[in-house]
Amino acid sequence: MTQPFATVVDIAADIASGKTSAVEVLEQHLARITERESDIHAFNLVTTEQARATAQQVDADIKAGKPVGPLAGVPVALKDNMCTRGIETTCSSKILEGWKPPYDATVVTRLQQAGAVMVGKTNLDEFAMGSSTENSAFGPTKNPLDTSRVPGGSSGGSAAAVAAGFAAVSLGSDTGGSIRQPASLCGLVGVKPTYGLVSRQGIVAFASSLDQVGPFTHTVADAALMMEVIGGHDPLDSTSLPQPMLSLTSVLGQGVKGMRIGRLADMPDGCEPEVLARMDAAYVALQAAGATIVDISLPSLSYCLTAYYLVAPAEASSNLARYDGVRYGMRVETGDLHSMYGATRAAGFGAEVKRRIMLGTYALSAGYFDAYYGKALKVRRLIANDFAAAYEKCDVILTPTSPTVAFPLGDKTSDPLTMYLCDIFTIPTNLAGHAAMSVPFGTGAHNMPVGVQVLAPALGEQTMFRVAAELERAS
Amino acid sequence: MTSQLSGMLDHFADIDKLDLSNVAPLAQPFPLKNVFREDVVVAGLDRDEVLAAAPAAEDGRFRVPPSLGLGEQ
Repeated sequence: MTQPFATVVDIAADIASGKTSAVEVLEQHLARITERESDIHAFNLVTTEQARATAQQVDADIKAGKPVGPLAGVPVALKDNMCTRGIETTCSSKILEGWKPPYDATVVTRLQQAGAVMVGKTNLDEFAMGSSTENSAFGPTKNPLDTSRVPGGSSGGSAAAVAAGFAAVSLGSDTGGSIRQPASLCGLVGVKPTYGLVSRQGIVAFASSLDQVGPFTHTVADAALMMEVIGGHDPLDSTSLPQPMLSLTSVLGQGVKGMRIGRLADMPDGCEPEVLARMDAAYVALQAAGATIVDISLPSLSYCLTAYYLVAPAEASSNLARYDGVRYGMRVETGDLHSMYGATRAAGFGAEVKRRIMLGTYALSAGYFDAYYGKALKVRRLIANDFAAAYEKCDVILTPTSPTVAFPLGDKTSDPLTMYLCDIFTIPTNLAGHAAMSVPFGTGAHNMPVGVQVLAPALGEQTMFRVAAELERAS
Repeated sequence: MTSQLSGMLDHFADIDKLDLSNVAPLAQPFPLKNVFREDVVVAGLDRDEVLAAAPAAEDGRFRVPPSLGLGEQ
């Protein structure tokens, strides 16, 4: 597919060489925001003045011959669950509306050090709980390719911002597919790195054993560059893996000759035929490039949904206990402490967040712990074992990212379980802590984009990016 | 919401048919244990900046409504 907007790699090169300036690039992006943001609602906040100041500084540094970072002058958008010092961070929740964090997330610091220019904070499903960005307390985000449809979620604002050309790149977070699914629905590349490869410090916690940060980009090369900037050990995150960051930009041209590509022998029901047709085309393309296709099975796949929707709400119910009206965010004054807690949470949290807190608290309660949370953790082991067995036969596994293309707004909001089924192909990766990414691979129904998901074992990013690059060449 | 929650719990009963008696639980992907940093003094967060984000603060502390004794007044 042709790229409608300039890539990160090209923008950074053109600014560094003096062909254009950071201010000029920023103003192009701000002009698109002015033109279309009122229709799309990608952002909770556009940081125009800070962005202009940063871009001017980048241009001054380049003019003065100072060394600049690999993203100097590149406009980035950040999901609004990433802490930005002194800049409102809301998680699209009324309970955090107006909160200005006293520190930057590590990924934000790394982007700043690389010279990136932050243009704004993007909309999400409240506390990243959702698959369509319709659960935001501040209203839904629309898909820039068809504004009657959802952009996916929960990082729907970050996906829409890149798809609409409001930013050259954005960061999202992925707990059960929240980067890959919106990337697929908006025709972008989206990466969920191996658990621990990218720091979670300063990312508002949803489900701590599943959350990872990753980029949305137009190209695989841009995603590789972004991963090299944000990845690598962070002493401020105790779950950060101790090894140095993998080189990804260097492997993109290596091809897939001799690689073994896993294909699910028993595909779950519910996939659109056009999506399955694109999958077949992906296997053909990789085979033509010298890979072999191997049938594999993940017998526990159908149980992942249950395991995920017990584990994630259980962890969320613990993490979200911090919103108690004492240290930050909203407080509803009632006169005494205990009723203040209840009144604050009743007013501050939206319906989906309340649903998951109740589900999680129930799954962890003394009488039901073994029946729900305990069992879910054992199913989590089963899917990890399934993957281990599959990866003895293949190097990566290919699945659809989403069973369907982007669906109309309001289509799945009445039944939460229907919405949860959007995540069937993405949640196993989070449960296992592995790497996965979505790569645009043509279009399906309604001429909307289809994403192919490349799954790799833990720290298998180099192999995963080689396959992604090959799919991109073939698309 | 009650019917939605019971609908979910009905769906989640699908794992009841699995034999999990010999399966060890997996609570997090990698077994990192006892991750400590060097025991050196580093700067903490700025107290005034932290308190500025609180709904109420007083004398360098978070201010909360009373938790005890209201019934005896």
